[in-house]
Amino acid sequence: MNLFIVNLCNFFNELVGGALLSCHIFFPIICAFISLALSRYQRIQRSRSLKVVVLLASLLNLFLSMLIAWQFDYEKGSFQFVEKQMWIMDYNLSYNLGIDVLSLYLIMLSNLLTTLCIFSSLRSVKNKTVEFVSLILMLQGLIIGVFASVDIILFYVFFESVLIPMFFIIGIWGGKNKVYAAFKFFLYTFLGSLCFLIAAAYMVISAGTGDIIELQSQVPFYDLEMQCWLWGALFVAFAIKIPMVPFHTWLPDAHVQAPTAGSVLLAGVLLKIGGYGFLRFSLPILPGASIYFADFMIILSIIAVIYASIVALMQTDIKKMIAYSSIAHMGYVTAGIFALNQQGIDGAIFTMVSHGLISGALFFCIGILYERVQTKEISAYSGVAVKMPLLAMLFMVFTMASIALPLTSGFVGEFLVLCGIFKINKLYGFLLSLGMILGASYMLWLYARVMFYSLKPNLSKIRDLYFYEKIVLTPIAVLIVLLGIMPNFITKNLYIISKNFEDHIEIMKNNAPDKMYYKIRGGNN
Amino acid sequence: MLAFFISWLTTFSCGVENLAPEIVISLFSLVALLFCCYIKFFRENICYFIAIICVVAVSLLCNRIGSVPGSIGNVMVFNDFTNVFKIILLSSFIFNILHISIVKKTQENYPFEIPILLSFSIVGMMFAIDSNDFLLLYLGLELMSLPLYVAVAYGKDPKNNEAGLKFFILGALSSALYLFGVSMIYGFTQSTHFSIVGDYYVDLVNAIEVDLKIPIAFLIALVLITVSLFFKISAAPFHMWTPDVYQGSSTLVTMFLASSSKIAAVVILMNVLCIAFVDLIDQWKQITMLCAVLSLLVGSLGGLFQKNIKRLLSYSAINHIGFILIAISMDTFYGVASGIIYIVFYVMVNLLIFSCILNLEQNKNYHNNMFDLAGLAGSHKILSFAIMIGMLSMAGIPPFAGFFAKFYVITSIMQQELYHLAIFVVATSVVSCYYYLRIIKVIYFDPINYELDRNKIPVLIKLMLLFVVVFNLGYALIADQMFLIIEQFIHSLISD
Repeated sequence: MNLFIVNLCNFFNELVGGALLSCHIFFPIICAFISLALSRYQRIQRSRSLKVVVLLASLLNLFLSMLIAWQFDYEKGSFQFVEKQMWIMDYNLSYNLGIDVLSLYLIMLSNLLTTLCIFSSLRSVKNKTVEFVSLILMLQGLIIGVFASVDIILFYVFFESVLIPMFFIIGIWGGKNKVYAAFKFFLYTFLGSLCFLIAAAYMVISAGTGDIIELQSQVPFYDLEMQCWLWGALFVAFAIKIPMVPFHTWLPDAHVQAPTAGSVLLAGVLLKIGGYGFLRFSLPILPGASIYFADFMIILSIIAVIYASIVALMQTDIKKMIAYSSIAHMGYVTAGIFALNQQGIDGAIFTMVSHGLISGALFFCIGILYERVQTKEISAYSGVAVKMPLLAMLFMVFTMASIALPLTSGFVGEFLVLCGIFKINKLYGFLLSLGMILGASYMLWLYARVMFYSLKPNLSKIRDLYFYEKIVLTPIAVLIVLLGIMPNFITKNLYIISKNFEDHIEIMKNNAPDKMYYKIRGGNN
Repeated sequence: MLAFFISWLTTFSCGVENLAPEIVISLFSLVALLFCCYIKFFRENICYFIAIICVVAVSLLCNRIGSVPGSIGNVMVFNDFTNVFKIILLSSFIFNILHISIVKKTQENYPFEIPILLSFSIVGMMFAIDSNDFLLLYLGLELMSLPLYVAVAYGKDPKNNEAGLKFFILGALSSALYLFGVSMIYGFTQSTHFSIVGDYYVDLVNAIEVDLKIPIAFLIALVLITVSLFFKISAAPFHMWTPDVYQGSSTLVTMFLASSSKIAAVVILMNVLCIAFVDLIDQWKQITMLCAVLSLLVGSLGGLFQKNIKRLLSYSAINHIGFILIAISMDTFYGVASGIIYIVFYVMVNLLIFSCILNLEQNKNYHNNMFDLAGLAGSHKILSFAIMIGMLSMAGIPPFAGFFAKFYVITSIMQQELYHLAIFVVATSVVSCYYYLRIIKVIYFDPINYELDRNKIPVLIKLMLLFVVVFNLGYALIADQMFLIIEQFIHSLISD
């Protein structure tokens, strides 16, 4: 079996001439373009075959990512599957692709979620289906490009291009206020990304290259004030993307108005790009400023967790509630990243992966309910478990995972983050744990109000899960429980990255003047 | 036959053979003006004849690209820089003029004079690009503008007359300011030649080593000339004519204004500022940057409330001119190179959008109102895709060409360490992004307002649209090549 897979990998490698990552990125994009171009022919036969083609393309991409994961060497800390070609000579920008463990897990997460999205949208989206799934396929390719770029301007190109299909998905297939939500999402994120572009342009000019690895060796030695300005620009971009609390107002609108698949992708993958950005750019390239702002970021994350949980408690729209819970969970991610120790970063990466699965699944569940009852108001639901026991069981798994119950992956991530934060400051740890309780409060209340109590009369005709819905939800549930029981499957590979980050930070701390630290951090490690 | 003609010109031994393209086009236009009055076949197909002649002129220019720079008594200079820009000018003119076939579908008796007037205007533009002397530049500017005044005013609608009158009065005013400035310069330097004017400052520096004071009148002359050229490129605060003229003229002429006239005006500005006043850069840098900042502000804020697409595009033109002015005012090599890339991209995108608008104007129901476009994606897939690509490119969103143009400008700003300017540029980019997205929203998101008939787009136009769309989409692949090509000919501008 092993030999068979190895042979298959070699076959693929030779097929694409060693440019596996480029193929991984551009194959979905080209397929999406072709299918969009062909979709103008309205013949039904063509449409059905186009749908199958798109689904097959997405599955092929998922398969390709699993092959990459198999061939990946988990012992090495550097980038693998590297492709480097000179792109723009004058500024020394190269078309540079490469993945390490962090990118690998996020790429696999995004591939899984996009394939499931395409699969579920083929049935649930009735209007202009082929265009919809082609846009999701394009999104799949672009997101892989974001996670695989090792050149800062190439990263920016993919980072922005991701906005375009999402804008169309929200704007054409969205809810009542779709135009407002689509514009708000696009313009807000565009502003953040342009701040990133300014910082990136400065770094490209002053360091003379766009390569992240070379930037990592040059930019940390700039003086602290310049680093802080650059860090601030990057912060604006990623804080809007994650989103962190002062910049979070686009998320509830975008989630509520987007179609199901759009929300799944937005919550499951696009938010992780912000966390990935912090891990890939702010920490390694600007470590001095990261240490300087670490306390600021942790406090902001605590505010995010507590504030978002409390706001979620009083929502009457299910999707909005889950959107605010996303903000709360991403607060854990940023807290973990800026704990700047090994447990924190491990926890942050693990939480990113698990939160992608959890909120993706939650949005799928809501989509299933919406398809049957045509409303997202909590007051319209009651006693759904009577009619849909299977959904109730799966929804329970996802709710428990969102609460961070042990045996689910949500617990592992948050526990690691709490370990990391407690090492720094007991007060921060205490406040962050408060978020876990608040998280439990609104999720359990939501579940009780929707699933339990007596069945409402208008819900007596709804049917339990269809076959395709079972196929969409089950793998995620299995993965969540599996990761909860055996998190070592992922965390043993994260060790290398987080150790690298931590060592990098330690070196900067030892070489740097004292004014880099806030006085609060007693330095207990 | 052409070679015979050129060799005959060479016998004059004053350099006239370099003017062969201009001579060819102007002779042809004069002859055509006569023939069209009598021969119906000529009248019907005038645009194809003009296009063929322009292709001939382009080939003449292409022949001369790698060779030694020529000149006519040093008052006209023909180097790589001017040749390449003349090629770009003529190519956009060919693209433009071939759209008459679409216009003729709705207006049977579209006058043949308009294309001929536009070709005279092109001759004037080419003259102005070549010239190395202020008075010859004036000749070119006038030859460029006067036919345009007439072309803009063509039409039965009162709006056309209004546009023509506004354009004429403001254009005449700018010409008057220009002449005033040139006459004052003549008073100081006894010559209107660029290099002699440029040497004047150097002589001043050499003569008075300490406590250099440039005569204030010289600076006033500089300001007057620059202001007059800013009128021509519609930089704020001299942009008032742009929305009305764009809206009022017929779309073919608007396309010409937006593409060819802008290229020529920007190149003339670059010639004047970078060759004649090159040592006074500290003086004109501030004016240019101020106008650039104002243009960005006016362009982004002004377009927010427009309902007419052509007015919206005029404000977006002002926005782009802001970027180009910023690029020109950076005195580094990369600054000017980014300006040139920007103008090339800008012209291509404008040709794309105006071509789509021209195609849409075949419908009786279409009145250039933005909400006429509602739900266009349902019925006109190619046009709506082309407009979408154009809008996303103009907004500066990767991976389209517009992003790279703006990226180069932003990096050249960062090279000069003008961080506040970079933040301002970014903020106005977001604001202008709103009205570009709004057009996409109207086309794709809104339900269909009323049926616009399916247009038949001629194959030639489809091919040209395809070329521009592919250029926009695939720019990321050729970004390096473009920079290399531009590097090659920009040396003639900087070193002269």
